[in-house]
Amino acid sequence: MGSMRAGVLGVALASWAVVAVAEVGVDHSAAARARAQASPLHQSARAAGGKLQQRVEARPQTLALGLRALSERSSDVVLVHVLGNHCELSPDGVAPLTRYQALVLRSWKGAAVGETIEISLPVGLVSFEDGTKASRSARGFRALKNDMRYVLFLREADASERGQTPGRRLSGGDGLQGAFGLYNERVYPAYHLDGMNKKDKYRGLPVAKFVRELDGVGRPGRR
Amino acid sequence: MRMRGGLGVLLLLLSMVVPAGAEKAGESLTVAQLRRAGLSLPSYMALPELMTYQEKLPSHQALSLSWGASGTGAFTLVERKQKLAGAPGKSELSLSEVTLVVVAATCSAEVRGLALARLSSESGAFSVKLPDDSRICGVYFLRPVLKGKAPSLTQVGSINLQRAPVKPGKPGAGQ
Repeated sequence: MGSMRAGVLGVALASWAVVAVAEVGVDHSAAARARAQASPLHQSARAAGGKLQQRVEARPQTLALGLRALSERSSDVVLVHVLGNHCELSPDGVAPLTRYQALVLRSWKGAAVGETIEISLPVGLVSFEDGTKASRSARGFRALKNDMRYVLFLREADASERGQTPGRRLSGGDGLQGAFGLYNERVYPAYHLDGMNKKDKYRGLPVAKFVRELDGVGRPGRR
Repeated sequence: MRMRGGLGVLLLLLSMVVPAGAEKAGESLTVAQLRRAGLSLPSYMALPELMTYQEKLPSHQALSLSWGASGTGAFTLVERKQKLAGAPGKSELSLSEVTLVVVAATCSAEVRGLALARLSSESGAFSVKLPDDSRICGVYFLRPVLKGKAPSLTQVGSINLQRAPVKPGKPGAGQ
């Protein structure tokens, strides 16, 4: 964990737009600094003139169409309250990531109510000691916000994904699909394709209706 | 002794015929009472779940309050400390004549935290622990009205926390 944060100034994401900058999780060990300085992301940021902006989008074949499909590929389907987040360099050193801590308020599958879980998203912003910066955002994706509540579809990263996002990640869309914000009794998918392509089925749906649909698909063995 | 025993039996019989709504104490706080007072829990959450949430949070905010000091009965925020370590904890949801229900809510009146205090005098000071949630706009103070068939809550004050001065707590401090 310490080495992953090595020598990088993480930048907190308070929304899809970066609004707050904070130095977090800085590991000042020489080895950590050297790792960050030698990372592919740092080299790319320097080559880009000190400021690198990456823009990604989920590959269509990784998207799930509907809550049932998302649930089937998830080990955890939970309603959470986001407690906090910080950005850091990914373990493979090629991109920023954001780690979120979240408290489980309701569970349909996997993690228990009252459990604090951590998830990683393949977006974020890091600053290196020499002032170079690198950010990664995803088109149509609104980063999760602190103190907001979301229904999350999660699974453990597989071997090919751990270099980008270690631990739990969103189940669909290359780690970008499967977060639904609940605000003022309405549903707001974090990723535009969570609206299931152009139908936008879930955007603005009453929370009670969304939860009823989840009750039907979230639990294993229930239809 | 015999007189006392007889009185006890009489009281027991009376308690069996008195409607539940007429009880002076022991009523439990309900979501419906909060809703009638203009405050609503999210549809995915009931009061026991709110209490569980408050028990599991890693941090809280502490509000030191006074009431009635100026003779107006108004509530005044004396001090607010945020980012304090430890959960706000849960409250027993039993209502009595001396209960004060303190509700932390968003700007759209969605309940995000709740604590029950006991205020038995006309003025004084007390403190409550609530979730340290940036979505909380203000706190509402509600008194139970236990007369009649359906106990209700009456709002007796509120404080806008967005305008309140904040004292950050020391990291790791429990209070």
